[in-house]
Amino acid sequence: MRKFFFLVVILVSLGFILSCQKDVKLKPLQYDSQLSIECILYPGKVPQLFLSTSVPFFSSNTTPQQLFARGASITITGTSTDNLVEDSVFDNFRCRWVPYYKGSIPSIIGQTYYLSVTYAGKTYTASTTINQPQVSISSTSFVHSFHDVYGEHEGVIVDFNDIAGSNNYYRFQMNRMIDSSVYGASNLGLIHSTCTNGSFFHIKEFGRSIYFDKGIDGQSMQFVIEPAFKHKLNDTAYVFVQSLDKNSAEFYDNIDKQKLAQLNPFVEPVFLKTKIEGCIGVFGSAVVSDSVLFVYPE
Amino acid sequence: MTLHNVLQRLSLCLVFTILTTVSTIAQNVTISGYIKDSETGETLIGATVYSTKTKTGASANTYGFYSLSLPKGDSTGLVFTYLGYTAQIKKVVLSQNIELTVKLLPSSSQLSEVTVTAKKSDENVQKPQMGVIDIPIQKIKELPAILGETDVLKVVQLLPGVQSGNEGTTGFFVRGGNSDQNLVQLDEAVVYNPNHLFGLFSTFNTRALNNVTLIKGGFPAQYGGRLSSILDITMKEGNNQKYKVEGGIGIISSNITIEGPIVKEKASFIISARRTYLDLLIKPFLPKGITTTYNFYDLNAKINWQVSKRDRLFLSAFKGNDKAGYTEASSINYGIKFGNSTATLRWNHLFGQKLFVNTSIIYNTYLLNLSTVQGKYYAQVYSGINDQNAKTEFQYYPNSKHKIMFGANYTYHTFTSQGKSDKIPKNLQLANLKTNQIPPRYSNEMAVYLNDEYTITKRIALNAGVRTPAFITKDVSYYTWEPRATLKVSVDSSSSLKAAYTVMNQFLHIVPSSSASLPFDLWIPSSKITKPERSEQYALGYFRNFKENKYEASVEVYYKTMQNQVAFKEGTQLLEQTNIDSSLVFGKGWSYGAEFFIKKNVGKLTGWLAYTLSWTNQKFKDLNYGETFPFKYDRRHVLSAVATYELSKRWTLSADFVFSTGSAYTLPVGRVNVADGGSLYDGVYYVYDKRNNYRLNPYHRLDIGATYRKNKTLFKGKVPFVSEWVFSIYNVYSHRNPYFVYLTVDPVTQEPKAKQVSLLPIIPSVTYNFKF
Repeated sequence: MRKFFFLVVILVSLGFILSCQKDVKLKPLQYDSQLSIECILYPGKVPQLFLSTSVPFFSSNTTPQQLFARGASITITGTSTDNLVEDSVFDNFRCRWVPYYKGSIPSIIGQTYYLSVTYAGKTYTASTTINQPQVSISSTSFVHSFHDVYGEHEGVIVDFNDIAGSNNYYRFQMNRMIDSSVYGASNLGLIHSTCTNGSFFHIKEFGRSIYFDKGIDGQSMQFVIEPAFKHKLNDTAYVFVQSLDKNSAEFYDNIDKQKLAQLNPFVEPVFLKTKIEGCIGVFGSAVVSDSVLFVYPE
Repeated sequence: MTLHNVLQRLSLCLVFTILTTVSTIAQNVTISGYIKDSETGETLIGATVYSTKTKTGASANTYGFYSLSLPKGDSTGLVFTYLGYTAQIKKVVLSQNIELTVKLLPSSSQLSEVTVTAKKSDENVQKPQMGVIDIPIQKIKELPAILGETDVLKVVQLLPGVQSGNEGTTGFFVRGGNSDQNLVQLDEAVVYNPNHLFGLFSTFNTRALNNVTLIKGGFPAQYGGRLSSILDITMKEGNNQKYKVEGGIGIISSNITIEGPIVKEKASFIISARRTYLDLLIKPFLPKGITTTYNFYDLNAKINWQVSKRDRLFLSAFKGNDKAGYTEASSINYGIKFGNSTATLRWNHLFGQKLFVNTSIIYNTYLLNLSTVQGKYYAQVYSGINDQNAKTEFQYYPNSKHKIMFGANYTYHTFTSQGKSDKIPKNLQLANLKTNQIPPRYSNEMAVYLNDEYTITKRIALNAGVRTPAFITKDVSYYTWEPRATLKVSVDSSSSLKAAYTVMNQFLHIVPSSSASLPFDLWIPSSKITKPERSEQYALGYFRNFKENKYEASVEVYYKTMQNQVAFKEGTQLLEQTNIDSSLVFGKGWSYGAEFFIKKNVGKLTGWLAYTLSWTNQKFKDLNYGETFPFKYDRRHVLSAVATYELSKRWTLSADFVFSTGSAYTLPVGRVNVADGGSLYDGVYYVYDKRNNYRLNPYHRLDIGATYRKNKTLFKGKVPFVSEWVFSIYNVYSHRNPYFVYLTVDPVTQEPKAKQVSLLPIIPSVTYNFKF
């Protein structure tokens, strides 16, 4: 009886401890791939439109090349019509080509642009007007430890004055050169470039948070931004503030909230609402502030 | 005119009818008294008395009291019955009012093989009530026990229309309602979380209980405050004949119950305690890197005192607490403390033979403090409730056709609830909620009610009532009313058709977290923003007994709507300063289904088979693109089979089997690249098509048990001693039932994977019980 008792105790204990965890193959739900459009127009720059197809969640296709929607007919019409053509850029950090559609006519402020994308026999349309105010960054600084909804992190502090009289939406931008010793501050794990052999390359990063001026119209604003890539003492970067149109702001704000819900298991999931009829994504615009040089103090 | 309006008018008619009917009573004789267990003096709740002459009867209330009015005249036979007890027949002369207390003998005490067990009454067919199930405590004790602990809630979850959550989640779910929509009462005191160990056990020690009744539809007017069910549990009063000690030594816990007379037949007490030592047992077997603590205890105590022939006092108390912690480097870590405490003082008074009054003063508290860490994030929930409650209920038996109940109920609630979640700081020092700074929220809940169980003709009976609840806070007041009606039409002597309509309101809410896997029970009161939940339920049923009530069978169909359901807004992250009401969205739910139930009550083989086919959906303007989606516990099929077989006088075998469709959860269906500056988004975002679009794998489990019982005597034959070895195996074929599924993404390939977590494999157990 004593042996039996101890055997039972061991089994019970193991039952509690070895709460089983295993990979499961879920039966994929019916999902019809959708077209995704992501295009933000910047005054003075030629349009760059990322066109891809969404894939079923558990698909093994993950790279931009695998998901790129080839053979689309795309026009952006402002004062004249710009026919976008396929092009690609090399992502030095992830070591892969990123295909996209490139225009040839720089966007201009004050203009309304009409997008038309024809792909697989269907046409999708959207429009955006570039009329956001440009802000001036008044100062930048650095904080070693800052706490917000994303947790505790270091941050680049950006101060500027909101432009009064309109609803404004802002996000952060940083351009800098990094080398392969720099890791991405990915939430999925620390990764770094494996194809640049120590040479420097250019990266452009956008802040995930969107800042709304609701209730603080015309007042001074301050961002504390967690950069996407790690840095070293005296690394330099150019810092910008983007003024987004409403559609873009809402779109990226939703993605931000969704990301937070994916990372934090105690945040309710977020369903994204499309900004372009019939497909997913956004066609919008941003006016970028003048750059300010920033030197990492640590 | 809506059905609701019609019923409102009918309710007014009911009051009028009751008054007029009661005032025109013919010359009657009233027989009243108590029905008790002859060995212990315990009241037999729901025992029946039946006149052989008039073919009418009555049943004993929660205090064992009955009152039966019969026409003046010759003598009649009165048959007193209760399942598991030998029936008793008394002959009485109907010339004057009679006070008659009857003590029934448990049939198990008769040693003959051919036990004259009382015929099961046919109340399930004849009474104008539906959706009501009494669960005999003895039956609970005989079923296979998880880790040797017999459990009330585990048995409740095997009944039709009731389902458990996933293994490891607390509570139970009735006819599409959330777990907060069940009112669980122990001696009239509300128990907000009736679970130990994440729902693996209930907080109720079976040895301290007298009666368990589940009501899931056709609610009488005395019950209110929850939309979906009432689980009414009554503690034992204590043996008023002799001292008894009962106990059990199990693998994870032990318990002891002592009861006896304070003054023989006048006053008695019972005290029962249970404590687990799971943490101590597990400790030596834990792998390196894992630490866990777990312990719970519960304590029940009750004193009752027959002050006079007409007055009786009861004082009962309960306290149950859980404390658990689990730490592993790469998994979910948690620390949890929760507990319920209740105290109830009740006074029974008899005005004559027809009016029974119970007045209660109740105090109960509930506290949950949960901290959990998952990956790089942590969350904390603090939920405290303190209720001060007073109520009085009158039960009036004017004649054999009416049983009238009316009363009033007042509760003063204090809520202290808040939650937060955040990323773990670099210094790993989690900033806990400042619980003493959470502002308390005060509210007053009250109700008056009137209910009549009216036998209109021999074939037709009506149970109708009205309840008028009110909820008042400093900012808002809600007044409403709830018509209730259940109609029974007998088809023949052994079958009937029943229909019920009920309206219920609920002023307290748990806001369910759609993502947290641990019990995230954040209780909040109704407010200006959070309106009371309200349900309307329609039910139809066919009830039939076979072979002199040996077999009970029923089919019930129901349709229930639930308004003002609460959920968190998409993207809600609770912070210390979050106003919870402002983080909520509101919608509606509806559930419909059919429940099939067949039960064998007597004989060597007893048990039941229950099958529920149901659909439960919800619709929120601000969730799921405003489209309808299935409720988390929308389960198409739920099947349970329960059997107990008396192999011999010493051996009893038992088994239960459950199968249910997996519960619903949400996963994205598509993935989209974020090409332009997507570094911080990890280059991807997700497409969701529908909330709760995936299903966990079906849940199924077989448990078996065997009990070896031996009777002997101690002290030279002076003290009978009963011992039991209870062997049981939980989850015999060790099916890995899903607890939850979560996603991981490979950081390099960015390919997502799903992982399923399961909790309990096969668990054998042995318990030694004794009683003397």
